[in-house]
Amino acid sequence: MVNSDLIKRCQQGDLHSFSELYALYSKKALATAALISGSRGIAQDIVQEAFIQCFDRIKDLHDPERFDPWFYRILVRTGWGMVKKQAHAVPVDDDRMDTLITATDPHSGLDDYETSLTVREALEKLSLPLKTVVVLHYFNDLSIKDIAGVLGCFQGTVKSRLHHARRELFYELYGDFDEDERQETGLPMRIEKGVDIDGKHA
Amino acid sequence: MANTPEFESRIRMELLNEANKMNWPEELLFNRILVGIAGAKTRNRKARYFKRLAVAAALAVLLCAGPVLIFSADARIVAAGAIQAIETVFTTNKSGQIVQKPANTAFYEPANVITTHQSDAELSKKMGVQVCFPKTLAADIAVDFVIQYKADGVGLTKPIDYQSYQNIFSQITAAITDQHAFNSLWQYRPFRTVGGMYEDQQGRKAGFCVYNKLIPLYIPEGVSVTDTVQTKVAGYNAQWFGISYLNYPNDDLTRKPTGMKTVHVLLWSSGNTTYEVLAVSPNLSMKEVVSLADVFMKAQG
Repeated sequence: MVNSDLIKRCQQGDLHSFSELYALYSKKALATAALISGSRGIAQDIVQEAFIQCFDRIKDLHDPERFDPWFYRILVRTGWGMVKKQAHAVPVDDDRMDTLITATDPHSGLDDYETSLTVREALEKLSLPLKTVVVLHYFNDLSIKDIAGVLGCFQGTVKSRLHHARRELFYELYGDFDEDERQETGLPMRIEKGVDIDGKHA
Repeated sequence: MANTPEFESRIRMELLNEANKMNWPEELLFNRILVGIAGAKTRNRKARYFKRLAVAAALAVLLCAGPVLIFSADARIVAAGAIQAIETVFTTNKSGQIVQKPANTAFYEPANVITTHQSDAELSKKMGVQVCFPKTLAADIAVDFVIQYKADGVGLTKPIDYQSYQNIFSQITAAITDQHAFNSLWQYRPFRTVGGMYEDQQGRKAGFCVYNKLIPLYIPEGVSVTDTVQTKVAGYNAQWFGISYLNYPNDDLTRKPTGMKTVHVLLWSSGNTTYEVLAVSPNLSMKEVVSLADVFMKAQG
C-alpha cells in the first residue's frame, strides 16, 4: 500500500512526489492495462491518461489509504473507454509479436510459451467486464469489496462475474485435456462444450 | 472445480509471468504524462485558462529574447512522439515574412507552467521575492476582479533547440517544485515565475505574472510591436505593448501559421523583479489594466 504522506504531498501538487508515485505504480498499471486491453500500445495510452487524471483529481481523494481502488477506478474507466473506441479499428498485433520473440528466446522453454499463450488466449476470450474482474482480483490482488468500488457495482455482481470468468477460463484452459492430463492437474473431471464444469448440461 | 486453489494459483502465477515479460518505456511515458499535466490536453475550463497563462509567461520572454516555444505547442509535439521527425519550424524573418527554418537551428526559450495550490507564503519562499495574489483586485474604475487560480513555472533564458528541450523537458517541469532540479538547470539560466488569473463578472480576464529576474527588453524576430505607450504603475516606469505574433494552427510551430495574433501586455520592474499583466480579454483598456496593476502592487507590500 502506498505511503499516505506521499499521497498528501501529491495532493499539494508536488511533482517530485508524483514521480515517486509513478515509479511505484507504473509497472503494475501498465501490465493491468495491457492485460485488460490486450494491446501494449493501447495500454500506454491508458496509463498516460490515467496518471494525468490522477494528478488532476488527487486533491479530491479524501482518504489516502484508499488510493489503490481510487486509482484503479480511473485506470479501468479510462481503459474501458479506450478499448471501446478501438473496437472497430484494425489492430496492430504488437502483443503477439512480442510473445513470439520471447518464445524464440533460447532461455525460455517451449512449454512456458504454450502455457502462456493459452492463458492469454483464454483471457482475451472473456468479455471486458469479466476480464477486468479477473485481472483486478488475481493480478492486482484487490478484494471483492475494492473491485466493487473500482467498478461502481455491488459486491454480489463482482462475485458473480468472477464466478463466470473462472468457469470460462477453466473451460478454455482445461476443456481439451485428455483424462491423463486431467489427472495430472488434479482437476476433477473433463470439461466439454455445452457441459458446465461440474459436468451438468448447461 | 474452477475455484480450486490450484486453478486460482495458476491464473495468478501466469498473469504475473505475463506481466514480467513486458518491457515498457517508462521514462518516455512519464515525460508524456508531464506534458499532459502541464496542459497539452486542455479539456477543462481551468486547463484552458492555464494555457493562456502559459502564453502570458511566454510573452514576457518574447519581449526579451528569441522566438518562444509556447509551452502548449511543444507539448503537443512531444506528446505525439514526433519530435525526432521535426525537420523545420515556421517563423518570420527580419522583413516579417513567414519562413521555414531547420528545427535544429531554430532556438527557443521555453517556460513550463503548471497550476498550483500553494499559498502566497510558499510561493514567496520559493521565488525569493515577496508575492501576494489577493483574492480580489478592487480597482477604482473597474468592477472587482476575482482570482481564478494560481500558476507556478520555470523558464529558461538561454535558447535551446527542440531536441535539447525534449531531453530536459521533465527536468524543467520537475524544477517547478524541486529546487535541486532547478539548480541543475544553471547552464540554461533558469528563472522562476508565478502567476494568477483574475476574472471580473463580465468574464474579462487578466493574467498577472511575477518573475524573479530582471527581464531586459528585446524584440525578437517573429514578433512585432504594434503600439507602445509609456505609463506608470505604483510609481514605477511601465510600458504598455501591443504585440503581434504568429498564430500557429493548434499552436504547432511545425505547421504554417494562419496569420498573426495581437495581445496587449503591461510590463514593469521593481528591484530585481519583473511584473507583467497580460490583457487576456481584448476589451480591457490600458487604463483599466494599469488601475488593476496599481492595486496588485499595493498588495505586494
